[in-house]
Amino acid sequence: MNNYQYINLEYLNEVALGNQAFKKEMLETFCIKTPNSIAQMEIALQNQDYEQVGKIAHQLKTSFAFVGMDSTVELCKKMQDMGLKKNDVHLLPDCFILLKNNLLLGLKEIDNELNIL
Amino acid sequence: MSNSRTSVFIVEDDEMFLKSVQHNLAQNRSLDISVFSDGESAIKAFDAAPKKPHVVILDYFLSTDNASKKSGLDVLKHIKSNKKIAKKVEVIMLSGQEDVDVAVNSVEAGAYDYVVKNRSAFLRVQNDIKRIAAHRSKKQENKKLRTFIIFLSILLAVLAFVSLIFTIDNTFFGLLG
Repeated sequence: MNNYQYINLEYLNEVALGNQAFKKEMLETFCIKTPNSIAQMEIALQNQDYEQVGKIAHQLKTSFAFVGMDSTVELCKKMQDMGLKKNDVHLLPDCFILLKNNLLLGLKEIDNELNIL
Repeated sequence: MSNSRTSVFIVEDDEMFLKSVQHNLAQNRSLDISVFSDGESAIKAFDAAPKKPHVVILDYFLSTDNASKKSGLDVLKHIKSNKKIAKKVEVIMLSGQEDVDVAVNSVEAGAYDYVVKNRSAFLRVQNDIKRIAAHRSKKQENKKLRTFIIFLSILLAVLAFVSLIFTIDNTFFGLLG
């Protein structure tokens, strides 16, 4: 049963195979790595380096998938395509704002989960 | 390392995925696992290893921000560049998306399998490793069997020769009276 609104840890629980220390390690890694990647993406956007935006979006997909943020995974896929193929790049700034907001919402719930573990 | 153990290199720059693959495979006690977060260190370790890994699990889209960094395809091609070694090392290529070009490039460069990083990825990788280990085990058994058959053939040939000499000897002395 999922107790959260933005994250879903069902998959991570499957991957953890009952190992709570591993689960904690994965969530902590997410909390450190993902904001860093978002910060790098922001710089890339400011520099109009859309290819780099696309590459970072590609990397972020797996991270968001681990915490069950499926709609954010789809958003990353769109940003990846836009960035790497340089299609509709004018939409990237709005997508980035949405991505950043989603991350913040997810991080709050992950923080809750880490306090329980 | 005994012959029954399978050595595995995991080359993956996504820290979360790397940890999860390592955690998943570590449940199999017959695996010796080494992890690398970039292509260069993996290639260095591969070249330096006196016994090459049996399986390399390799991310196709390794970060190549720095011009000197190696992509997954670079690493695969390096592993397969030595034909003698290439036969003994199987590479499972991972990718974050379903992409026909990536799959074709990987298989053409000699990858054993191409696995998309979705929820069935770990099971697919485990099954690939089991198949590779089973094939290796069969090859070792066949080699032992061939050696035994050769030994047996030589032994039978020697016995036949000795028997022939003995028969000739008996016949000769029989004729002499």
